[in-house]
Amino acid sequence: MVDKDKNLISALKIAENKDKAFQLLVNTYQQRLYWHIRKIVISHDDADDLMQNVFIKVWKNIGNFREDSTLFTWLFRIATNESLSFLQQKKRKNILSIDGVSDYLVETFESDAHFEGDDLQKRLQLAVLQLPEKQRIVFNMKYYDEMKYEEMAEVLKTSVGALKASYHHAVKKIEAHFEGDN
Amino acid sequence: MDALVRIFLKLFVMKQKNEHFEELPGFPKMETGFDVPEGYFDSFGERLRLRMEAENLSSRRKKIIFYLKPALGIAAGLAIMLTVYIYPPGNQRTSTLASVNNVAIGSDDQSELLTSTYASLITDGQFISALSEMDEYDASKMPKEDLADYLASNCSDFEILNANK
Repeated sequence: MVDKDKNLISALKIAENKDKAFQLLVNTYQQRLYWHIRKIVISHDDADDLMQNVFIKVWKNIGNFREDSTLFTWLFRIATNESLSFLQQKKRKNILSIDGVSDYLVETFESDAHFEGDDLQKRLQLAVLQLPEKQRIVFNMKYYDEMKYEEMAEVLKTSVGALKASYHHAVKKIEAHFEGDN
Repeated sequence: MDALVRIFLKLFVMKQKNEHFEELPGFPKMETGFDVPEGYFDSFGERLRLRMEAENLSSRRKKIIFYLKPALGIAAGLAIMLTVYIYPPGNQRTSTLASVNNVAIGSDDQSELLTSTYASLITDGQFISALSEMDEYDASKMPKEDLADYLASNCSDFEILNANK
């Protein structure tokens, strides 16, 4: 773990420094976490709520952080779990099937006031939304975020091999989606 | 399939198969197209802070409350004891309090003596010095959920604000 992160974690665990350290943490990681969450849940308002939940969880649980991963990995993991839990709740509340979640996300995407992409970006996003949730997360992290497989494996607690397979299948499905469109 | 989509798809698939593939000049990496309201990230920290204060999660607020907790506990205990003495259940005064202070039951000065006795246990000066001399509480030793529950059921904003003057 880099020294900057170690210092930040130490400051977060000391009551008198916690407020300032937390402010620094938020400023440092908010954008990257936001875009990760946003790509999963699509809606800006939902992403905003979830990101607040993530940081509040970090505030409450920083004392339990064992530092066996990097700070960013830990944050990313919390953000991923919060986002997946959110979609699970949507499924339960609205009695959505797996396909239902996909339809819900497509509907959310098409009515999203905060999308300013071109037609190609829109078509790619619609193709990505057809993927199963976890495969979609893998695709987002690899394609849009350009994360290394090893880093993704730490966040998602999955093997590198499984991630490569998941990404390969995601690409194939997107390719087929585009070809089917035309 | 239109030309742009064909080019994109070809590049897309080629890139995914070869991690060292260099993008063609002039062909931008595909971004998501998502956007945020203006100033969103600038104001996020402040909105988060307000929400955490509303949920009693600020560490400064917790610190104040922890300094006051023992003192408020003493004050509450005294208030209960005095109330029980002044308004005893079944009109029976307990002898325990009086006997501890060697005051004969039935004495005309009993209530006054007891009041002054307990008042002497914690004067204003002692209350204030107890606060200032108290060691800083290490919040990490107490589960935060327990703290939040205690605060919600035992301390009001009015008590905290007035005790801290």
